Amino acid sequence: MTNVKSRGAVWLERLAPAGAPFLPLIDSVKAVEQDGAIYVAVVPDPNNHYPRARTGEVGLLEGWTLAKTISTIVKEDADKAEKRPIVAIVDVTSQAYGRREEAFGIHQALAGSVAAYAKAREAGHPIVSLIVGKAMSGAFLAHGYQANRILALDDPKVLIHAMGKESAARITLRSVAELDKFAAKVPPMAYDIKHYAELGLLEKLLKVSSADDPSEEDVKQAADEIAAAIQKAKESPRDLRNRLCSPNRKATSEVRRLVKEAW
Amino acid sequence: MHNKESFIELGARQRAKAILDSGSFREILGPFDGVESPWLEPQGIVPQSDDGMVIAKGTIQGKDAVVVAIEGSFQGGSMGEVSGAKMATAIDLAAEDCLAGKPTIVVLCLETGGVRLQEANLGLASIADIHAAIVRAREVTPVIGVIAGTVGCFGGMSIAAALCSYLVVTKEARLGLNGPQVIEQEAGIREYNSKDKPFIWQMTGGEVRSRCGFVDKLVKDDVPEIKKAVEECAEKGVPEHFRTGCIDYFLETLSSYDTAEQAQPGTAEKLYEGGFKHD
Amino acid sequence: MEKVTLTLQAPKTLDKSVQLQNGVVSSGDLEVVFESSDGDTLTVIIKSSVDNSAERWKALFSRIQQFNSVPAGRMLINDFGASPGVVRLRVEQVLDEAEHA
Repeated sequence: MTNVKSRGAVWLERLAPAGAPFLPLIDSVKAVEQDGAIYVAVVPDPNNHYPRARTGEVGLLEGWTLAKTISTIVKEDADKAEKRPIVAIVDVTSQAYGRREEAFGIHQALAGSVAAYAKAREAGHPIVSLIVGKAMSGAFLAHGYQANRILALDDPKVLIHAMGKESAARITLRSVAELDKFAAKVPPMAYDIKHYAELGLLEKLLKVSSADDPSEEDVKQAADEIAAAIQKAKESPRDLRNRLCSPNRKATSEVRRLVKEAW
Repeated sequence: MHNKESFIELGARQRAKAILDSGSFREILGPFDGVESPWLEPQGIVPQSDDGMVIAKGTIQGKDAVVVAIEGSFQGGSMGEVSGAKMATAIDLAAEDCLAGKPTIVVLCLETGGVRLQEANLGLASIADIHAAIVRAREVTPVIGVIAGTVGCFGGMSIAAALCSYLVVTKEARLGLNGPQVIEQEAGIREYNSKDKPFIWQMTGGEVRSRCGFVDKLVKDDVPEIKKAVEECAEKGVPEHFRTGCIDYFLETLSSYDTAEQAQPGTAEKLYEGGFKHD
Repeated sequence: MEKVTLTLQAPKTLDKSVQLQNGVVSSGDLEVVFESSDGDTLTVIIKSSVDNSAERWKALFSRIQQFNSVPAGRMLINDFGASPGVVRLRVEQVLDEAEHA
């Protein structure tokens, strides 16, 4: 039976072909160190210990393993002046949905990962996310959203959102067609990367010849952009204020300004 | 005759007033400042003047504090661009004050289903901002989450709750990542029956979360009790450890659990018997 | 969603500046936000989830004016399908509070 690699796995391999495994703990979280940077991806594991986390979801073990991986990097570099960059390769279909997940506290597991990434960023590790596939809700919050800079492939299968379309339709009591209609005039509601790029959250959109099977040029382009983003992160404040530059997010800047004024 | 003052029945504004010292409440960006969601009217949805988020500065036992309270009755307490920005900014400014020598306690009243789907990606981005703000602020000041119900705390905001220094919950509250309907839709009714209320509370209710160690205080739905619980947490100051730092413990415990078994009521309590251990 | 603006004659101005808020925009409820001002009109700006309701709002406020002395200023109403009874309750509560502020 052929095992089709996920995009996350493919891009991890292509970006860090000579990388050494960094703290391999479980098959669904792959971390690789190459040229002083650590690349991290969450990938499908059909043999995952938790049955509801077998197709690339961020579940209980993934959340805590990401936390372990990132916090280990921070600990190892604690006394170093130069902190190793961390590249999160993001292709996560969702958080894991299941009874064990809720009962055993998946919300806490994902918080573990969020805290580790945020603390790494604050400690001075430049963190860059490269979205190559799906970046959905809790999974993206836990793996990718705490980066200094976010890059994404300009590809129709790159989708970012808070909830899958069918579920979102059901919960908002609209049809999928209606949601698509609203998304056309309400950019934050759209799933595709072109609309997402209008929100001012992305550093750059990368046009590639093939997102599923990247060419050498594609990989080089991505590697160069990642390096540039790392450099920018090093030269900028460690918070997330670089995400405030789009007219589509101007209400956020307004709120920040007005709250500070009234404080 | 019960003389109980229900906290659950209070709206966000009254909850903030109840937690702060009497007379110290001062709202920031309130109903009269006209900062609403720019995204709801184009979709034919009626906005609320404060976008369902109340920022109130004041004091708690005489010490400077800010209470940020979500209005659970407006769009299910869901996080939009403006409401999310209000919370993130308030937490950031409190942290800045602490670093400038003006200690400010942060209290978050979390009554939310998560991202407001009508603002999807901006709601999600604002939650990422809130996460960053809590991780930063909790190093210098207690960040106290209060989940009372009836909405509970779900979605990306359940992660925010899990980042807090302390959590105060009632037994009516729920704290979970995914809403019951979404789990049922994704995983099937046998995995998760969204209509079985006792079951849902046995999985994610305040009592079970307390027994397992995911929250710090389980209190009655009573204003003086909740106020006292918040004050006690504030008095503890910045904790030595956070739950997010129990990484090895959770990895070991969750790896060793036999997943051939489905989780039943009582499973989580048994799994976490003895309490979480810090790295 | 319906947007209705009404301009009512306001026989009185309040002695001091008043800001009042009441209610919440949840299903079957509404929010009333009032700010007093000088002048002789009360401008009521209504956003309602109920379409084609302009006439009903006019009639409702006509009735409210019969029983309440309306102060000069601006009143915002964010309505999520509240019944006329609930609307009157919240509006009259605000008017009452304004009078006694």
